[in-house]
Amino acid sequence: MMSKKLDTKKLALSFILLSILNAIFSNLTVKTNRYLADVFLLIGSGFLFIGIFFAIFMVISLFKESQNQLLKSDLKSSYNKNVNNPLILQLKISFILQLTGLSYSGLVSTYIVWILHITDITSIDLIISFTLSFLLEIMTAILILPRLDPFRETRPGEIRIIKLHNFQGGITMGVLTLSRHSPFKSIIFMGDEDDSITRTIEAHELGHATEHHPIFLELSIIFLLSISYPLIWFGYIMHREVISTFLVIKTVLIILSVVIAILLFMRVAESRADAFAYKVIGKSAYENLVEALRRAYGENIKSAEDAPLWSKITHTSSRNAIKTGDPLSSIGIWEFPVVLSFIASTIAITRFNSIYIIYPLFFIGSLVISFLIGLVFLPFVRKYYRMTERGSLNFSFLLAGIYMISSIIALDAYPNLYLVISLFLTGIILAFIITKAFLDLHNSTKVVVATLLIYLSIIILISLIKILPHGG
Amino acid sequence: MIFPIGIDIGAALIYAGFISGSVTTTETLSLVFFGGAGASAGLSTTADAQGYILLASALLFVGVALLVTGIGFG
Repeated sequence: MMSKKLDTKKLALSFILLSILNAIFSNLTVKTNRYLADVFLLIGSGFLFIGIFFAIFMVISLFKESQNQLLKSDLKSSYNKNVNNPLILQLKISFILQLTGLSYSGLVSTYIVWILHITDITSIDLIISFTLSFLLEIMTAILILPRLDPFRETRPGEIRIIKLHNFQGGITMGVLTLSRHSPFKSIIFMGDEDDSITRTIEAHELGHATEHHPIFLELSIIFLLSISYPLIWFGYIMHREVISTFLVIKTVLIILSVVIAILLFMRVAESRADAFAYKVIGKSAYENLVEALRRAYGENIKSAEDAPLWSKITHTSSRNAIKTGDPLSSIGIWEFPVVLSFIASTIAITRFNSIYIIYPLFFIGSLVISFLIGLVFLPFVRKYYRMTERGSLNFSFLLAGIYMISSIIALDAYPNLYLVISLFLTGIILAFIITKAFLDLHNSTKVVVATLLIYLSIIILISLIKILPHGG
Repeated sequence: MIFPIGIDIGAALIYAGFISGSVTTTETLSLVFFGGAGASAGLSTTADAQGYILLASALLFVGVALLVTGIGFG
């Protein structure tokens, strides 16, 4: 069965690769031979759909396996404990979110274009349709997802552990629900062995479940869908001439920012779960993790860095957090400044009418500023963070990045001073909430107040230096 | 000539998919979905540049759907 699955994977990937090659040929030939470019484009689309067919075939084989096991099983009434069930559940969730996202954004876009007869799409129209699609989709997710099979039997607020035979690693899933007890339902899928390795995996997954990481992921997926789908609908309905290319580029930058922010969030969430596992299991947690990786990916794994690429992208490559107990020690030093500067420059660009030179300048500028401010914060943050050196540095960069993003968001509302102040205050509250996730209440108050004062004094100093030579 | 970014990203992910020898089903699925998303985005940009709006929109919908499914498995 395993070899069959591997073949389907290679077939799907080969056809997708062929479609990419055709797209490249189409791009190369479009100027010299239009007819040939069209042929390549259509062949490429055909190959893509064959690739997707094989991907769907992979998914169908999972369903089939699950059904076969259900027929063999005696416990038909209770939830079928099949190894593939978490994957099937995830596919169901994705499918429901996409279908509802597609229909809601379609309805909202057609309402704006055909019923309100708006002929020129502005940023405000886009923001209204993003918000409407987001709210409608959240409502549907809250109503439908908790009623899917294993979640239906889970009580609100409960962290249910489902042990599966022959299951490698662990997956935590969570959905929002409508209940007066708790708005969360969480399920952990993991192997049924009773040894220290499985206990480490359980501790890691419990870290995810107690901090509700899957809920954040669900919300960010809904957010991503509600930004991208309305834009595609508008592009199709309005035949793209009436939406300026610049507006499209800005939205694409926003989508890219959301994607890299999700990726960074995943890495921090995995490191926090690793740190949680270290606190529960102790010093043997790292060896248990390497052994768990060896079980999943083969005997060649000697350390966490030998894990496959995708695992290293989402779970960090060093997995230092499970050795040190410091959640920020596995994140690279460049990660917070680069990602937060990308987000900051995307927000800053929304007020400008050209991005070609300004965007790279904004990006490099904010990268340098967040790096320098982070270094200024470091001595103070180190005193309260009290874990690893890398962790303190990353925490300083994180705080510097959040302050920078808050200032840029606030400056976007410039002529309205009340809005500027309230937006900056919202940013500070956000910084406090994030700090609270890493430090206790007393220390996080101290750190936020002190770093904020340092940040404000740097800004005032720069303004004075800029104003004084020009005579105010 | 610079190709649409979707093509580059898709090609990189497919390469990652091929070189990852023994992967679990979650990772296999997410890489296939991400590769498909990159390819759809690349083809969609190509179709859009050549004036096929319906094809470009359909490919973009498919691309976003694949991307979101891939993120779910990440």
